[in-house]
Amino acid sequence: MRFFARQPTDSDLIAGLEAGGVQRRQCENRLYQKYAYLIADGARKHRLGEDDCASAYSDTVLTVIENVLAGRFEGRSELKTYIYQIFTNKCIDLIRKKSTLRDRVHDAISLDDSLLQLPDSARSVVQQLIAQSDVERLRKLIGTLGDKCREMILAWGEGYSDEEIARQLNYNTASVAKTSRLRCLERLRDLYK
Amino acid sequence: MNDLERIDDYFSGRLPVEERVRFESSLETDSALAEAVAFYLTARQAAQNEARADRKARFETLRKESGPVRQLPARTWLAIAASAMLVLGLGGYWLFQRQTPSAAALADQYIQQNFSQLSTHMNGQPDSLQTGIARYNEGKLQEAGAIFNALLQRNPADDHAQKLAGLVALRTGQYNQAIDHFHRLGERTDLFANPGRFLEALTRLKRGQPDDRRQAETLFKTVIEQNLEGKAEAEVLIDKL
Repeated sequence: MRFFARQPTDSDLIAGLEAGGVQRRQCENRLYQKYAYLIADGARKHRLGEDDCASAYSDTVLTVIENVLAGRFEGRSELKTYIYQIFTNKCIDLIRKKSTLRDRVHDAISLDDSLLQLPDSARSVVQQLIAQSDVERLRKLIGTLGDKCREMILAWGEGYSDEEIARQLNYNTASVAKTSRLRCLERLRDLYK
Repeated sequence: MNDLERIDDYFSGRLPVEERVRFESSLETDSALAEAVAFYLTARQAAQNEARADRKARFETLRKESGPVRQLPARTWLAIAASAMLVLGLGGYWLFQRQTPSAAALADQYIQQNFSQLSTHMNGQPDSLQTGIARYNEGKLQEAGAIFNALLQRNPADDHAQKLAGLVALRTGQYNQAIDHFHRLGERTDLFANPGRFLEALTRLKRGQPDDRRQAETLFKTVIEQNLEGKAEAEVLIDKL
Protein backbone atom coordinates (compact mmCIF):
# COMPACT_ATOMS: atom_id res chain seq x y z
CA MET A 1 0.00 0.00 0.00
CA ARG A 2 1.65 3.20 -1.21
CA PHE A 3 0.20 5.25 1.65
CA PHE A 4 2.30 3.34 4.17
CA ALA A 5 5.22 2.54 1.85
CA ARG A 6 8.63 3.07 3.46
CA GLN A 7 10.50 6.04 2.01
CA PRO A 8 14.28 5.83 1.62
CA THR A 9 16.27 8.10 3.91
CA ASP A 10 18.11 11.08 2.47
CA SER A 11 21.49 9.54 3.24
CA ASP A 12 20.45 6.33 1.40
CA LEU A 13 19.46 8.40 -1.62
CA ILE A 14 22.68 10.39 -1.64
CA ALA A 15 24.78 7.25 -1.28
CA GLY A 16 22.82 5.63 -4.14
CA LEU A 17 23.33 8.64 -6.41
CA GLU A 18 27.04 8.65 -5.69
CA ALA A 19 27.29 4.92 -6.30
CA GLY A 20 26.49 5.53 -9.98
CA GLY A 21 25.28 3.01 -12.56
CA VAL A 22 21.88 1.38 -12.24
CA GLN A 23 21.68 2.28 -8.56
CA ARG A 24 21.99 5.96 -9.43
CA ARG A 25 19.10 5.73 -11.88
CA GLN A 26 16.89 3.99 -9.29
CA CYS A 27 17.78 6.58 -6.67
CA GLU A 28 16.96 9.40 -9.08
CA ASN A 29 13.46 7.96 -9.47
CA ARG A 30 13.04 7.41 -5.75
CA LEU A 31 14.24 10.92 -4.96
CA TYR A 32 11.71 12.27 -7.46
CA GLN A 33 8.90 10.24 -5.90
CA LYS A 34 9.82 11.01 -2.30
CA TYR A 35 9.14 14.73 -2.57
CA ALA A 36 6.63 14.67 -5.46
CA TYR A 37 3.97 16.06 -3.12
CA LEU A 38 5.71 19.43 -3.58
CA ILE A 39 4.11 19.61 -7.05
CA ALA A 40 0.60 19.94 -5.66
CA ASP A 41 1.94 22.11 -2.85
CA GLY A 42 3.62 24.48 -5.36
CA ALA A 43 0.55 24.60 -7.60
CA ARG A 44 -1.55 25.67 -4.62
CA LYS A 45 0.90 28.17 -3.14
CA HIS A 46 2.06 29.80 -6.37
CA ARG A 47 -1.21 29.45 -8.30
CA LEU A 48 0.56 27.63 -11.11
CA GLY A 49 -0.70 24.80 -13.27
CA GLU A 50 0.13 21.32 -12.02
CA ASP A 51 2.03 20.51 -15.24
CA ASP A 52 4.14 23.67 -14.92
CA CYS A 53 4.90 22.79 -11.32
CA ALA A 54 5.76 19.21 -12.30
CA SER A 55 8.24 20.56 -14.83
CA ALA A 56 9.76 22.91 -12.23
CA TYR A 57 9.94 20.01 -9.78
CA SER A 58 11.69 17.76 -12.35
CA ASP A 59 14.21 20.56 -12.96
CA THR A 60 14.66 20.88 -9.22
CA VAL A 61 15.39 17.18 -8.78
CA LEU A 62 17.83 17.23 -11.70
CA THR A 63 19.64 20.26 -10.27
CA VAL A 64 19.81 18.59 -6.87
CA ILE A 65 21.23 15.42 -8.44
CA GLU A 66 23.84 17.46 -10.33
CA ASN A 67 24.78 19.34 -7.16
CA VAL A 68 25.03 16.14 -5.13
CA LEU A 69 27.27 14.52 -7.77
CA ALA A 70 29.42 17.64 -8.07
CA GLY A 71 29.81 17.75 -4.27
CA ARG A 72 28.00 21.09 -4.08
CA PHE A 73 25.43 19.77 -1.60
CA GLU A 74 27.28 19.84 1.70
CA GLY A 75 24.52 18.42 3.85
CA ARG A 76 24.22 21.56 6.00
CA SER A 77 20.47 21.42 5.64
CA GLU A 78 18.11 18.49 5.19
CA LEU A 79 17.69 17.35 1.60
CA LYS A 80 13.99 18.23 1.90
CA THR A 81 14.81 21.85 2.85
CA TYR A 82 17.37 22.06 0.05
CA ILE A 83 14.89 20.73 -2.53
CA TYR A 84 12.14 22.99 -1.21
CA GLN A 85 14.33 26.10 -1.58
CA ILE A 86 15.41 25.25 -5.13
CA PHE A 87 11.85 24.30 -6.07
CA THR A 88 10.47 27.59 -4.70
CA ASN A 89 13.05 29.51 -6.75
CA LYS A 90 12.11 27.52 -9.87
CA CYS A 91 8.43 28.29 -9.29
CA ILE A 92 9.20 32.00 -8.89
CA ASP A 93 11.30 31.86 -12.09
CA LEU A 94 8.31 30.27 -13.79
CA ILE A 95 5.98 33.05 -12.63
CA ARG A 96 8.49 35.64 -13.91
CA LYS A 97 8.82 33.76 -17.17
CA LYS A 98 5.07 33.80 -17.61
CA SER A 99 4.81 37.51 -16.81
CA THR A 100 7.81 38.67 -18.88
CA LEU A 101 7.64 36.04 -21.64
CA ARG A 102 11.28 35.23 -21.00
CA ASP A 103 11.94 31.78 -22.36
CA ARG A 104 14.03 28.90 -21.13
CA VAL A 105 14.59 30.37 -17.69
CA HIS A 106 15.29 27.07 -16.01
CA ASP A 107 16.73 25.18 -18.97
CA ALA A 108 20.03 27.02 -19.09
CA ILE A 109 23.06 25.01 -18.08
CA SER A 110 26.24 26.84 -17.35
CA LEU A 111 29.45 25.98 -19.15
CA ASP A 112 31.43 27.90 -16.57
CA ASP A 113 32.83 24.87 -14.79
CA SER A 114 34.44 23.49 -17.95
CA LEU A 115 35.54 26.86 -19.25
CA LEU A 116 37.15 27.71 -15.95
CA GLN A 117 39.73 25.01 -16.60
CA LEU A 118 41.08 27.05 -19.50
CA PRO A 119 43.56 29.89 -19.01
CA ASP A 120 42.03 33.39 -19.43
CA SER A 121 43.37 34.11 -22.91
CA ALA A 122 42.22 30.75 -24.37
CA ARG A 123 38.89 30.97 -22.55
CA SER A 124 37.79 34.18 -24.27
CA VAL A 125 38.55 32.71 -27.71
CA VAL A 126 36.53 29.55 -26.97
CA GLN A 127 33.72 31.55 -25.36
CA GLN A 128 33.28 33.60 -28.52
CA LEU A 129 33.12 30.45 -30.63
CA ILE A 130 30.58 28.85 -28.27
CA ALA A 131 28.41 31.96 -28.47
CA GLN A 132 28.13 31.33 -32.23
CA SER A 133 27.22 27.64 -31.76
CA ASP A 134 23.73 26.24 -32.15
CA VAL A 135 23.05 24.01 -29.16
CA GLU A 136 19.50 23.22 -30.22
CA ARG A 137 20.64 22.00 -33.63
CA LEU A 138 23.21 19.78 -31.96
CA ARG A 139 20.49 18.37 -29.69
CA LYS A 140 18.41 17.45 -32.68
CA LEU A 141 21.41 15.88 -34.41
CA ILE A 142 22.12 13.71 -31.35
CA GLY A 143 18.72 12.15 -32.01
CA THR A 144 19.81 11.10 -35.49
CA LEU A 145 22.93 9.23 -34.36
CA GLY A 146 21.15 5.92 -33.73
CA ASP A 147 20.16 4.42 -30.38
CA LYS A 148 23.53 3.13 -29.24
CA CYS A 149 25.40 6.35 -30.04
CA ARG A 150 22.65 8.53 -28.62
CA GLU A 151 22.60 6.55 -25.40
CA MET A 152 26.35 6.81 -25.11
CA ILE A 153 26.46 10.55 -25.78
CA LEU A 154 23.65 11.17 -23.30
CA ALA A 155 25.37 9.09 -20.62
CA TRP A 156 28.49 11.20 -21.19
CA GLY A 157 26.32 14.34 -20.92
CA GLU A 158 24.93 13.06 -17.62
CA GLY A 159 28.47 12.71 -16.32
CA TYR A 160 28.79 8.92 -16.31
CA SER A 161 32.39 7.73 -16.48
CA ASP A 162 33.63 5.45 -19.28
CA GLU A 163 33.71 2.58 -16.77
CA GLU A 164 30.00 3.11 -16.00
CA ILE A 165 29.14 3.51 -19.69
CA ALA A 166 30.98 0.25 -20.44
CA ARG A 167 28.97 -1.56 -17.74
CA GLN A 168 25.62 -0.09 -18.81
CA LEU A 169 26.10 -0.64 -22.53
CA ASN A 170 27.98 -3.94 -22.34
CA TYR A 171 31.42 -2.92 -23.61
CA ASN A 172 34.32 -5.07 -22.59
CA THR A 173 36.42 -2.27 -21.15
CA ALA A 174 36.24 1.44 -20.37
CA SER A 175 38.82 2.02 -23.07
CA VAL A 176 36.58 0.43 -25.71
CA ALA A 177 33.66 2.52 -24.47
CA LYS A 178 35.77 5.65 -24.69
CA THR A 179 36.86 4.90 -28.27
CA SER A 180 33.24 4.26 -29.28
CA ARG A 181 32.06 7.44 -27.56
CA LEU A 182 34.66 9.56 -29.33
CA ARG A 183 33.69 7.97 -32.64
CA CYS A 184 30.07 8.95 -32.00
CA LEU A 185 31.22 12.46 -31.16
CA GLU A 186 33.19 12.55 -34.40
CA ARG A 187 30.08 11.51 -36.32
CA LEU A 188 28.13 14.26 -34.60
CA ARG A 189 30.74 16.80 -35.60
CA ASP A 190 30.56 15.64 -39.22
CA LEU A 191 26.78 16.06 -39.16
CA TYR A 192 27.10 19.48 -37.55
CA LYS A 193 29.59 20.87 -40.10
CA MET B 1 45.56 10.75 -30.87
CA ASN B 2 43.01 12.89 -32.72
CA ASP B 3 41.97 16.34 -31.55
CA LEU B 4 38.71 15.20 -29.87
CA GLU B 5 40.52 12.58 -27.81
CA ARG B 6 43.11 15.14 -26.76
CA ILE B 7 40.36 17.61 -25.80
CA ASP B 8 38.49 14.87 -23.93
CA ASP B 9 41.61 13.95 -21.99
CA TYR B 10 42.23 17.60 -21.18
CA PHE B 11 38.76 18.21 -19.71
CA SER B 12 38.81 14.83 -17.92
CA GLY B 13 42.12 15.72 -16.26
CA ARG B 14 43.90 12.79 -17.95
CA LEU B 15 46.41 14.86 -19.90
CA PRO B 16 49.92 14.97 -18.39
CA VAL B 17 51.02 18.41 -17.14
CA GLU B 18 53.45 19.09 -20.05
CA GLU B 19 50.77 18.14 -22.58
CA ARG B 20 48.28 20.38 -20.76
CA VAL B 21 50.53 23.41 -21.04
CA ARG B 22 51.18 22.72 -24.72
CA PHE B 23 47.45 22.26 -25.35
CA GLU B 24 46.55 25.57 -23.66
CA SER B 25 49.15 27.55 -25.58
CA SER B 26 48.07 25.92 -28.89
CA LEU B 27 44.51 27.08 -28.25
CA GLU B 28 45.51 30.72 -28.56
CA THR B 29 47.08 30.23 -31.99
CA ASP B 30 45.39 27.16 -33.47
CA SER B 31 41.89 28.21 -34.56
CA ALA B 32 40.97 24.65 -35.65
CA LEU B 33 41.74 23.39 -32.14
CA ALA B 34 39.77 26.28 -30.60
CA GLU B 35 36.83 25.40 -32.83
CA ALA B 36 37.10 21.74 -31.85
CA VAL B 37 37.07 22.71 -28.15
CA ALA B 38 34.03 24.92 -28.74
CA PHE B 39 32.31 22.02 -30.51
CA TYR B 40 33.26 19.58 -27.74
CA LEU B 41 31.86 21.83 -25.00
CA THR B 42 28.74 22.73 -26.98
CA ALA B 43 28.11 19.06 -27.79
CA ARG B 44 28.44 18.22 -24.12
CA GLN B 45 25.96 20.96 -23.27
CA ALA B 46 23.59 19.64 -25.95
CA ALA B 47 24.01 16.11 -24.54
CA GLN B 48 23.32 17.43 -21.03
CA ASN B 49 20.18 19.21 -22.25
CA GLU B 50 19.02 16.13 -24.12
CA ALA B 51 19.74 13.85 -21.16
CA ARG B 52 17.93 16.27 -18.91
CA ALA B 53 14.92 16.27 -21.23
CA ASP B 54 15.00 12.44 -21.24
CA ARG B 55 15.07 12.30 -17.46
CA LYS B 56 12.30 14.86 -17.21
CA ALA B 57 10.22 12.66 -19.49
CA ARG B 58 11.06 9.68 -17.25
CA PHE B 59 9.95 11.65 -14.18
CA GLU B 60 6.77 12.69 -15.96
CA THR B 61 6.00 9.04 -16.68
CA LEU B 62 6.59 8.26 -12.99
CA ARG B 63 4.24 11.08 -12.00
CA LYS B 64 1.51 9.83 -14.28
CA GLU B 65 1.95 6.25 -13.10
CA SER B 66 1.83 7.25 -9.44
CA GLY B 67 -1.15 9.57 -9.81
CA PRO B 68 -1.42 12.82 -7.89
CA VAL B 69 0.69 12.83 -4.75
CA ARG B 70 -0.34 15.09 -1.95
CA GLN B 71 1.04 15.48 1.50
CA LEU B 72 -1.85 15.76 3.88
CA PRO B 73 -1.76 18.96 5.91
CA ALA B 74 -1.88 18.73 9.70
CA ARG B 75 -5.53 19.78 9.83
CA THR B 76 -6.43 16.93 7.45
CA TRP B 77 -4.66 14.47 9.75
CA LEU B 78 -6.64 15.93 12.65
CA ALA B 79 -9.85 15.50 10.67
CA ILE B 80 -8.93 11.88 9.89
CA ALA B 81 -8.15 11.21 13.56
CA ALA B 82 -11.42 12.85 14.62
CA SER B 83 -13.35 10.79 12.05
CA ALA B 84 -11.67 7.60 13.27
CA MET B 85 -12.64 8.47 16.84
CA LEU B 86 -16.20 9.13 15.72
CA VAL B 87 -16.36 5.82 13.85
CA LEU B 88 -14.95 4.00 16.89
CA GLY B 89 -17.38 5.82 19.15
CA LEU B 90 -20.36 5.02 16.95
CA GLY B 91 -19.13 1.44 16.60
CA GLY B 92 -18.86 1.14 20.37
CA TYR B 93 -22.30 2.68 20.82
CA TRP B 94 -23.71 0.33 18.20
CA LEU B 95 -22.16 -2.66 19.95
CA PHE B 96 -23.53 -1.37 23.25
CA GLN B 97 -26.93 -0.96 21.69
CA ARG B 98 -26.70 -4.44 20.25
CA GLN B 99 -25.90 -5.83 23.68
CA THR B 100 -28.65 -3.92 25.49
CA PRO B 101 -31.55 -5.92 24.00
CA SER B 102 -29.83 -9.16 24.97
CA ALA B 103 -29.54 -7.86 28.56
CA ALA B 104 -33.23 -6.94 28.43
CA ALA B 105 -34.02 -10.33 26.92
CA LEU B 106 -32.08 -11.95 29.73
CA ALA B 107 -34.14 -10.04 32.29
CA ASP B 108 -37.32 -10.87 30.39
CA GLN B 109 -36.50 -14.54 30.40
CA TYR B 110 -35.87 -14.49 34.12
CA ILE B 111 -39.08 -12.55 34.83
CA GLN B 112 -41.12 -14.95 32.67
CA GLN B 113 -39.65 -17.98 34.40
CA ASN B 114 -39.94 -16.72 37.95
CA PHE B 115 -42.63 -14.08 38.19
CA SER B 116 -45.40 -15.24 35.86
CA GLN B 117 -46.99 -17.07 38.71
CA LEU B 118 -46.58 -16.38 42.40
CA SER B 119 -47.01 -18.77 45.24
CA THR B 120 -50.38 -18.25 46.87
CA HIS B 121 -48.94 -19.16 50.21
CA MET B 122 -46.08 -16.84 50.38
CA ASN B 123 -46.76 -16.17 54.02
CA GLY B 124 -49.51 -15.93 56.55
CA GLN B 125 -50.53 -12.38 55.71
CA PRO B 126 -54.15 -11.19 55.70
CA ASP B 127 -56.44 -12.26 52.93
CA SER B 128 -56.17 -9.15 50.82
CA LEU B 129 -52.56 -10.02 50.03
CA GLN B 130 -53.56 -13.50 48.91
CA THR B 131 -56.39 -11.98 46.88
CA GLY B 132 -53.92 -9.70 45.19
CA ILE B 133 -51.66 -12.67 44.43
CA ALA B 134 -54.61 -14.56 43.00
CA ARG B 135 -55.46 -11.63 40.71
CA TYR B 136 -51.81 -11.48 39.72
CA ASN B 137 -51.78 -15.16 38.81
CA GLU B 138 -54.96 -14.69 36.81
CA GLY B 139 -53.20 -12.02 34.81
CA LYS B 140 -55.36 -9.27 36.28
CA LEU B 141 -52.34 -7.16 37.02
CA GLN B 142 -54.13 -3.80 37.37
CA GLU B 143 -56.44 -5.21 40.06
CA ALA B 144 -53.54 -6.91 41.80
CA GLY B 145 -51.56 -3.64 41.71
CA ALA B 146 -54.48 -1.71 43.27
CA ILE B 147 -54.69 -4.23 46.11
CA PHE B 148 -50.94 -4.18 46.85
CA ASN B 149 -50.78 -0.38 46.71
CA ALA B 150 -53.76 -0.13 49.07
CA LEU B 151 -51.98 -2.47 51.47
CA LEU B 152 -48.86 -0.32 51.25
CA GLN B 153 -50.82 2.80 51.98
CA ARG B 154 -52.20 1.20 55.07
CA ASN B 155 -48.82 -0.13 56.13
CA PRO B 156 -45.81 1.43 54.33
CA ALA B 157 -43.49 -0.95 56.17
CA ASP B 158 -45.11 -4.02 54.56
CA ASP B 159 -42.17 -5.47 52.68
CA HIS B 160 -44.28 -8.16 50.98
CA ALA B 161 -46.74 -5.61 49.63
CA GLN B 162 -43.83 -3.47 48.48
CA LYS B 163 -42.22 -6.36 46.63
CA LEU B 164 -45.52 -7.40 45.02
CA ALA B 165 -46.41 -3.82 44.02
CA GLY B 166 -42.95 -3.63 42.42
CA LEU B 167 -43.50 -6.87 40.53
CA VAL B 168 -46.85 -5.67 39.18
CA ALA B 169 -45.19 -2.43 38.04
CA LEU B 170 -42.41 -4.47 36.41
CA ARG B 171 -44.83 -6.78 34.60
CA THR B 172 -46.91 -3.83 33.37
CA GLY B 173 -43.88 -1.95 32.04
CA GLN B 174 -43.91 0.80 34.67
CA TYR B 175 -40.21 0.42 35.24
CA ASN B 176 -39.61 3.71 37.08
CA GLN B 177 -42.30 2.82 39.58
CA ALA B 178 -40.93 -0.72 39.92
CA ILE B 179 -37.41 0.60 40.52
CA ASP B 180 -38.78 2.97 43.17
CA HIS B 181 -40.48 0.07 45.02
CA PHE B 182 -37.46 -2.22 44.80
CA HIS B 183 -35.06 0.56 45.77
CA ARG B 184 -37.06 1.37 48.91
CA LEU B 185 -37.13 -2.31 49.70
CA GLY B 186 -33.41 -2.67 49.12
CA GLU B 187 -32.71 0.18 51.56
CA ARG B 188 -34.34 -1.75 54.36
CA THR B 189 -31.90 -3.26 56.85
CA ASP B 190 -34.44 -4.88 59.18
CA LEU B 191 -35.38 -7.78 56.93
CA PHE B 192 -34.11 -11.32 57.23
CA ALA B 193 -34.29 -11.78 53.46
CA ASN B 194 -34.27 -8.76 51.17
CA PRO B 195 -34.68 -9.26 47.41
CA GLY B 196 -34.85 -5.45 46.80
CA ARG B 197 -31.42 -4.92 45.23
CA PHE B 198 -31.65 -8.03 43.07
CA LEU B 199 -35.09 -7.02 41.74
CA GLU B 200 -33.95 -3.43 41.14
CA ALA B 201 -31.02 -4.77 39.11
CA LEU B 202 -33.35 -6.99 37.11
CA THR B 203 -35.72 -4.08 36.43
CA ARG B 204 -32.84 -1.86 35.28
CA LEU B 205 -31.73 -4.57 32.85
CA LYS B 206 -35.25 -4.66 31.50
CA ARG B 207 -35.58 -0.85 31.29
CA GLY B 208 -32.24 -0.55 29.39
CA GLN B 209 -31.58 3.17 29.82
CA PRO B 210 -27.96 4.30 29.15
CA ASP B 211 -26.61 3.84 32.69
CA ASP B 212 -28.94 0.98 33.69
CA ARG B 213 -26.64 -1.84 32.63
CA ARG B 214 -23.74 -0.49 34.67
CA GLN B 215 -25.98 0.09 37.71
CA ALA B 216 -27.48 -3.38 37.36
CA GLU B 217 -24.01 -4.91 37.38
CA THR B 218 -23.09 -2.91 40.49
CA LEU B 219 -26.29 -4.07 42.22
CA PHE B 220 -25.69 -7.71 41.26
CA LYS B 221 -22.15 -7.44 42.68
CA THR B 222 -23.55 -5.99 45.90
CA VAL B 223 -26.04 -8.86 46.13
CA ILE B 224 -23.22 -11.37 45.64
CA GLU B 225 -20.78 -9.66 48.03
CA GLN B 226 -23.37 -9.13 50.77
CA ASN B 227 -24.94 -12.55 50.26
CA LEU B 228 -28.39 -11.01 49.77
CA GLU B 229 -31.45 -12.78 48.42
CA GLY B 230 -30.99 -13.63 44.75
CA LYS B 231 -27.22 -14.22 45.08
CA ALA B 232 -27.23 -17.47 43.08
CA GLU B 233 -29.32 -15.91 40.30
CA ALA B 234 -27.17 -12.76 40.33
CA GLU B 235 -24.04 -14.89 39.78
CA VAL B 236 -25.64 -16.55 36.78
CA LEU B 237 -26.97 -13.31 35.29
CA ILE B 238 -23.75 -11.31 35.78
CA ASP B 239 -21.86 -14.04 33.94
CA LYS B 240 -24.18 -13.74 30.98
CA LEU B 241 -23.90 -9.95 30.78
